[in-house]
Amino acid sequence: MAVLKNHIIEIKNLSKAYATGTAESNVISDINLNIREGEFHILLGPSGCGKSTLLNIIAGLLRKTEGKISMNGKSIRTPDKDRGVVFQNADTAIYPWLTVYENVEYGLKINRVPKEERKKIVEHYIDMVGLSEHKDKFPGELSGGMKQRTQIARVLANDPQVLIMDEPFGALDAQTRRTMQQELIKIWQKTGKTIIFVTHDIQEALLLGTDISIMSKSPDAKIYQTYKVDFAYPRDETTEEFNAFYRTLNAHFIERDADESYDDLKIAI
Amino acid sequence: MASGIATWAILILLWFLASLSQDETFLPSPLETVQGTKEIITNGKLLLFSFVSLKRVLIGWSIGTLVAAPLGLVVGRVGFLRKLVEPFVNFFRFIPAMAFLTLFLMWFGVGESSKLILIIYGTVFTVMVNTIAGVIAVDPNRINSARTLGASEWQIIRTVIWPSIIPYVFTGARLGLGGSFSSIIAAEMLASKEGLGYLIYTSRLYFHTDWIFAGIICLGLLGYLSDKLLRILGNHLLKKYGVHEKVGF
Repeated sequence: MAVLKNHIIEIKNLSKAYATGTAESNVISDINLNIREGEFHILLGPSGCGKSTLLNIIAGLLRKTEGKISMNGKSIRTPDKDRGVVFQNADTAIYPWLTVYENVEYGLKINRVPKEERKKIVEHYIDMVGLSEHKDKFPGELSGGMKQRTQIARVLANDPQVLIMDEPFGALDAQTRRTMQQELIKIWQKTGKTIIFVTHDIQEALLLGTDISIMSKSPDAKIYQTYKVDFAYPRDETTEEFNAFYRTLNAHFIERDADESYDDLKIAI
Repeated sequence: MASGIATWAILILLWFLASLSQDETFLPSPLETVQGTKEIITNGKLLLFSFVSLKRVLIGWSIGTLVAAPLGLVVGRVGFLRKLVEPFVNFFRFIPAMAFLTLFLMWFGVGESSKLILIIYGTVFTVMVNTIAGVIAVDPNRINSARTLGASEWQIIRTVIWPSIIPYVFTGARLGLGGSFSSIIAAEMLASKEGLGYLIYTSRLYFHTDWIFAGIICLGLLGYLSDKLLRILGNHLLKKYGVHEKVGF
């Protein structure tokens, strides 16, 4: 194991409140999380637990209410191309009036990358996500998986330091999801990007992550445990170790269903 | 196409039957209308008047659309402007252009400008209301993904909002075109020496009911053809922005 790298994202006592009627309630509250460069960090939790809220704050799309959040020591206030976001719904994230090629080129054009350089980068990433044969098609002619690949290529082409992914494979059928997971691993290994990946699927978390942070339910959602996963890639979900780990993670959710008062669980970060 | 011909055949047949028991100056038969139409085609009036009306509509409508689309975009995008303009727009869009006809004639004279302003007025509100609705309907995901890729507000307006609202602007423009035809006919009836409205209004004085029919049919054709042309252009040039029709209407 190499020397531990620096924290790229640091989150301290982070809370986000929403006004509901007259009272304010915290969606997430007192979140503490450090993410190192090159990590594949999974945020795992039930639906509606505030994972997306946390992700949107990291992306800079939502403002925090309290606490600190920084990237490379600089406080996060607005979106930045250093933090690329792959949205769950590729249908609305990529632009239907642009071809696959033009969609992937979009961020580069916005950031005024010269044309020749643009072409090289776009073709590289379209190739990486396996869409070379479809690069002149419009999104309307693509399957759900292909749309999501387009979105991933668009974000990668922009060369962000951190890749933020909000249940990106949630809308795909099981088979396509599996293929996309395997390819994401390859892309992550090839590019060495830091990835923050939200999911509610324990198996997906274990197949992908180097680190898995478990989030409790909202309101006042917290991260109450982070696990390191040392299995080698590609991971095999049929091994005994994998299943043992699955049971460990799953226990958190069963416990919660049985007993809502899990605040006394040790926070082990 | 076949059903279209059937519709017209039935209509003309009914018209013919109705005209049998009526005087020519009250309800001319289809054949008498064709003969009357021939007269004003031969003396060049019908073509000239059609051209005059169409020219007024196209100029006024183009200006109105070109002004209203960017205006609607800015108003729709900037929250406080939207709140400021909303009551104003929703008040005036219920006042048809015709209501302003006498005022505009008084203010801008009986020449071309009052007629153009009338059409521009009608078009601006229709296109603006549609454009604003389009801006409000843009999926926030589209905007957020542009922001996270590094787009500035101006870049978002240019590269995300504008392409997203094109179908709305297009619908507004189509509706505006229809409104422009009604406005111009009314204006020409009251204050013009040329145009289809003038033809329809004055033919009565010469007991030429057949010319009135010719004018009305010509107006319907012009409206139909210009809308059809607009739709064909839209379907071809703006298809990738989502302007397309599965059912033609």
